Amino acid sequence: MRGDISNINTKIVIAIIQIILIFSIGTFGFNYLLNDITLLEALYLTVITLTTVGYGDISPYANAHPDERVPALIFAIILMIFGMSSFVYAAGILTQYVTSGELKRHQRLKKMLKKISRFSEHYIIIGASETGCYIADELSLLKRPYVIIDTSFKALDDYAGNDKSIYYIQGDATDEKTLLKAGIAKAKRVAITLPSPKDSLFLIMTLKELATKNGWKFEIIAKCPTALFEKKYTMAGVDYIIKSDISVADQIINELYRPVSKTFLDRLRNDKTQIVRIDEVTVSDESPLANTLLKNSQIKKKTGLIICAVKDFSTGNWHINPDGDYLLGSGDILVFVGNLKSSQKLRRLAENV
Amino acid sequence: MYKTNGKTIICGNTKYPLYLMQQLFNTGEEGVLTIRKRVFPKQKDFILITDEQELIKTCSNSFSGITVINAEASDDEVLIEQGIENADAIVISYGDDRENLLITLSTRQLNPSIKIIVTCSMIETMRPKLLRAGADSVISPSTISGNKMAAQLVRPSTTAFLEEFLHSENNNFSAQEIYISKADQNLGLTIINSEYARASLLILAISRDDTDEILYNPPSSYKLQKGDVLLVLGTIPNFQKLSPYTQYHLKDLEIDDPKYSTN
Repeated sequence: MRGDISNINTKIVIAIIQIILIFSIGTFGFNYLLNDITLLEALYLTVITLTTVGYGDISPYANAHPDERVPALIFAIILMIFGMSSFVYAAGILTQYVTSGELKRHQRLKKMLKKISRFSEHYIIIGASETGCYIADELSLLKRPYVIIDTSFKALDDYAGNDKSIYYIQGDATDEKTLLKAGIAKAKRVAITLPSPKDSLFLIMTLKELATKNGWKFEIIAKCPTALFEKKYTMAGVDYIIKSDISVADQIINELYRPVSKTFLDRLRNDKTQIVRIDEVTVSDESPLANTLLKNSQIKKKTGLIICAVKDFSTGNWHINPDGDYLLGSGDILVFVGNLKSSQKLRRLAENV
Repeated sequence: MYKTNGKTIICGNTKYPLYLMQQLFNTGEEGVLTIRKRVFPKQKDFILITDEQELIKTCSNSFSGITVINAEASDDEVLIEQGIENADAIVISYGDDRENLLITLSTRQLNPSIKIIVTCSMIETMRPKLLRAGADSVISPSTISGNKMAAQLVRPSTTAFLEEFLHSENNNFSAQEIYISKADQNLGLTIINSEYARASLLILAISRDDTDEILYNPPSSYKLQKGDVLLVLGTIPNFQKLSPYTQYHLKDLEIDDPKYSTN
């Protein structure tokens, strides 16, 4: 089967063992039956037999004493018929593996798994649905680490294609092994985008259960198409529900009642040409920004960004357009509008990584 | 001269017409809050065209003021009968994208100035077609949820904050778009010398007349030009410090689009 790593591995290993076995049987067999030839010559004889070359310089007839001839010829016949057919079969599997791109693919998957194992504070998207792929697009655009999980290799392949910056894992997200491969222990948030609310509900419960068992600390975000399931989602332990149908209705209402051209806020939310987003960073303990007055922080000078709002960690209050005398503290959340480059600069400054 | 009858037609067989009506009318006395302003839709201004029996039943029960028509919207006669030629807007939401496309086309033919809002499932292939057929906005449910989920993943606090900030009228903050006309007293002034800086308002972005690009985080030395549209953030008392002229403009802009009204 295409794609399944363990399955491919077994097939390849069997083919290699088969080839080694045939050659050893041939070599040791000739060496044992013919007294005049060396081990190397026996190997040579086996190879020219199995590859149907047969120069005729060494042969089980010419190089045998008269009394060795019968067993040597019988052995040669068996080797020619059974040995050659299984050699061709095994060689065929190996050739197919190399030429069909399976080898490349296998290496890529292995590399991907290795890279994913180094991720931390990353996002996991479950379901390569249209919604899931949209989220992945957005995260790619913002250069945030993420992994997509889907049961279907085809869906993942269709989305990722040859793009090496997309990390995905094929597997069942309710299976602990799949989740571990995706680095769930170090993940920051998990987004569930399965189309069926029943599947989502089951997944939320499984994730929550595993999280409590293993002490994992991710948050779960799920989309909930109907209001009927909201309560159940909450009971199952979801951290945030995206009410997809109501959002659609709200969007239609906004379109109905608003003036003709696009507003700033729409462009901020999803402009694909100019990657500018409203975004946030959290000030960490070690950041040079902690315990600094906003006017002395040099944020504007270093990043070109203006801080639109600050959420004070100690009081939980929002300060819009904070003035220069605001004292930044660790845990404060800074909200700004900016392009990718400046927001990465500010993220480094605030998180001190 | 074209005259509207103020009607909005909703047609479709998906679940969205029902959610739309719930969001429009189940908000009590307060009206619906859109990104820009609060509106008070009346049921008598809405016409629902659908052949989905379940939807007809629910709507007749819960929203008795709405005219419900049991018919296919792909039939031009039905649309004409319901006054499509004078209607304000139409929301088209069928499960089949081809049907959406067909109705968009015929609506645009029948009424060149109606606002057409259409939902679709295959956004990538359908969006350009629908726009070419005359749709004003194309809404993709999966994109909307993807957008919301991505925002929730990477910036949860900001999302919560914006939600509160934009969708609640009880808070003290406001974001406004302000148009700089040729008579504006701030014209030619740098941001730091303008009345916005004096009123402690934050100019977050400027959309300029001459380019499509939006200037974000404008430097305080930026000179305000005619045709600039500013995105301004601040507290309501600070907005009230602005001169009456600017305030008038600001109130005006809330209802009408700047570019649209001045040209």
